[in-house]
Amino acid sequence: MSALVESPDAAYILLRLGEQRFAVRAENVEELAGSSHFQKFPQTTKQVEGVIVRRKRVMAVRDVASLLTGRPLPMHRFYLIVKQRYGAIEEAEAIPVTGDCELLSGVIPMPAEDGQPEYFQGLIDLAGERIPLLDLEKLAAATSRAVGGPEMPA
Amino acid sequence: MNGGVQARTKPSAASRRQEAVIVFAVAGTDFAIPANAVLEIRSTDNLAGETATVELAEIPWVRHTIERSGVLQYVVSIGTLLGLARTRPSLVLLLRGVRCALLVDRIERMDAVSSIFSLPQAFQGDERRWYLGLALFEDGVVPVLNPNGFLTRESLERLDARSAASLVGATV
Repeated sequence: MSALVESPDAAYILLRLGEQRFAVRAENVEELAGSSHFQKFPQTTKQVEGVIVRRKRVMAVRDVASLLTGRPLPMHRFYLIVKQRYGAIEEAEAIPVTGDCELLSGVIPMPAEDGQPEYFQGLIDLAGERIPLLDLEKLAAATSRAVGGPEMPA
Repeated sequence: MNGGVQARTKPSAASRRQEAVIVFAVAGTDFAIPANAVLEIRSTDNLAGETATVELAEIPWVRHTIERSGVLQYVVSIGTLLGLARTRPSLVLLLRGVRCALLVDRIERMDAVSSIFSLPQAFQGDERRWYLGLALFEDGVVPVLNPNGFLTRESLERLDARSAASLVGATV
């Protein structure tokens, strides 16, 4: 069981991928963006679907649904813009979500259970539903490994 | 880096110098290349007699060479390299300072960009070598090709060896 030290003042964003819900720390989220001009170009990083442009920034669109739910989202309606760390570099990255994001505060996550993926930082109990709290950095590394990609820069 | 273009993550007010790029299409996808990286644009129809064939199974995106001023340039099929649909390229971009030329379908326009954005860190594959970065235009993002990104030193050595062997074979 991994240790999890969270402030009771911490806030979380609940996001939905298909039928499943997940949580990320609110401090790691910049915004929820509506439909943006999604673009693809030839590239070989399978877990990255393309890019969007927000506020004159080009952001990678990372498919996390394939790893977390077993299938990519069929449509991109909303993007959760998160802060992603690559070693010393922090970049905004877009995660397609189904919508229905909620801000949650006043909860203390439980530690993740043994055997759960390393990118589960903990679990949030909401009326009996245990919602995984995601570690975005480890999740990005896991999405890369899942498709046989290179190790993320540390 | 050829062409003097530096990719950067964020455009700064102090670096609003406009950079000329040539935007071209391959298999319906737009790409850009710094204009100062291009020495000459030729029609493929006009190259008959100036090219030779070179084939290596492990480098299928190079099938021809052009000799310019005693230097062998390898003609790179961008479409084959990037896994795009097969097309019939009509133009060759002869590049300055590197030993490759690029087969493209058509030139879309000359344009100017004030900044070329670094490829986001999430991209971890060969695209980091292929692209200098991403140019942001009003109608979207266009990858900016890295003139040095198509033939590694190893590839050049193999191609040179094959070309030399072909030459010896032809003269014996």
